[in-house]
Amino acid sequence: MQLNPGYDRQHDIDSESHMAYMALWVLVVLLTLSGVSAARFDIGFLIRGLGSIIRQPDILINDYIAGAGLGPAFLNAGLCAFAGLVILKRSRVRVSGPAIAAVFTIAGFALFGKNVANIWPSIIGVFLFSFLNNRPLSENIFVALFGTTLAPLSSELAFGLGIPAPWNFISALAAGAAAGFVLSPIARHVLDFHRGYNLYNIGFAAGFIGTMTLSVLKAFGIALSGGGSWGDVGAGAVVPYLAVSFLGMMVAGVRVDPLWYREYGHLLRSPGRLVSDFVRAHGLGATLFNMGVMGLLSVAFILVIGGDWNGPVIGGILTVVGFSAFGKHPLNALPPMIGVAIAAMISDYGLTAPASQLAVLFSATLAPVSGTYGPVAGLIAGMLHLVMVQTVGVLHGGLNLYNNGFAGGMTAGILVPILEWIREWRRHEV
Amino acid sequence: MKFDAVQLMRVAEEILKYFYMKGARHVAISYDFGKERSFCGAHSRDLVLEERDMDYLRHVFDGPVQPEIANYYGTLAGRRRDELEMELVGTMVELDELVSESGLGTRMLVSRREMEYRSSLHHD
Repeated sequence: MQLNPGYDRQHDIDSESHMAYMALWVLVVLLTLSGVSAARFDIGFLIRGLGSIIRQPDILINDYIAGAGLGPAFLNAGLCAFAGLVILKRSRVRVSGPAIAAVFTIAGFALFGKNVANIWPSIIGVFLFSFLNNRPLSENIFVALFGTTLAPLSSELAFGLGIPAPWNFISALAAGAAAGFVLSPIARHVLDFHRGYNLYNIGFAAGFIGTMTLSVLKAFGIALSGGGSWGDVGAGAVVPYLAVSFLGMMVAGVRVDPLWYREYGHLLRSPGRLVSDFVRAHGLGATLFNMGVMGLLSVAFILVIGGDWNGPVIGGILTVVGFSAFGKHPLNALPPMIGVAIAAMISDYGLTAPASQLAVLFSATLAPVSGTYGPVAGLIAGMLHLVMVQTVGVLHGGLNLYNNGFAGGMTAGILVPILEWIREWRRHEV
Repeated sequence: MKFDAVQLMRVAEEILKYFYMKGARHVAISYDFGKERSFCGAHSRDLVLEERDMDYLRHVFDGPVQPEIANYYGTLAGRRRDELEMELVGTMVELDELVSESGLGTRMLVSRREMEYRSSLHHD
């Protein structure tokens, strides 16, 4: 065990937090400008597209790019990231690894399930939970931001089940807020199950809430609608922009911290378990560089497997990049990603199936397993993750957007005690 | 029991684990629970930390307490059998004293303020 990861210098967390905040503003501007320019500055088209996005039931998988076009989808991503950033600012929390991960995740999933209307009920629920506990919202800010994973629940009630107005909106708000309200205690509780080896912990917690919700709906004979939208705009439409953006991140990292390479060496030795706040531990320079590297690797991985280019895949890449400030790096993320690819190729699922493509990207939620127990363990975790992710989605019916977080929590919870026992047995500590 | 008291106990478990893994076999843990601020002290007479260990601990506690991380992820502190979570501890408590000298051993004192008080203190 590494008792003392080296640190070459102290970082001024407050000034780096401010720079990270500015970097997130750049993300918001880039997404918004991409949306507006992709729509060729046709404001009417953008507004109609946003309206179409908001009115979709949003059950997983619902590709906004296929449904509304590149412009409205990216504008929606920019607006959702803007909302997340404003909430962070109002909560007065320092922008470090988890905050970066949260904003990138919101932006990514705003290409396939979250929109400017459906993210609010669960945030209101977390706010109510904080208020009733007499604590500031800032203490539950990450639950509030990541908790938008349950956004499809509100959209489904508002637009998918045929409930007449205004009861559809009232029930959407009430159900989303109730889900957000209970998310905070459940999220803390389920951390114990996987002990921090599943980075998408809110996805794990939300999976249980989604499962319970679907069970209640089924008990009354209510079937969910929507989902199953998956397009492909082609690599040429997005890959050059993504590549330039990620190269830009790497350059920004080098500019922010001229000694980034020394800290990056330490960062690469981090197991990545929760809580691995790379900004706090290794500085913003090394973190931005890592985010750029992981972005390029993710793009390369999708190109190699011949994947599609659409909202879910781009959203998955943005999520990987965000969590590269909060636990993921090439050495711990690649083994589970390769494991998923191998399992997809040797199983009936196939590598080009939508769920397999997404699992390749989101399997990096299990990066801490390979970071702690080695690449072979990571590879096995990735293989198991694929078979889990293909099955557990049925439980919540697509109400939980972080389906890979749900599957990752189960995979880690099952694997980690076994891996821990093997390690202790080999050390004769049992 | 107050949430902050539970969090401080978990921090103590993590510090105890750190001392044990560094070779300490006689460790005394003490608490002082106050209304607005609570303290936890760890003292081991048979442990002298190396300078790089001291640097690491100073680095861990150099950053500010982050309630937004401590409140959500704090339940992980003191839970893992074989892995240290001192970085997490650094987001949960402030370091008030760290001394390690031959003859005296190692003494660490950390404190945790009541959450709302801390939130209003650190952000104007």
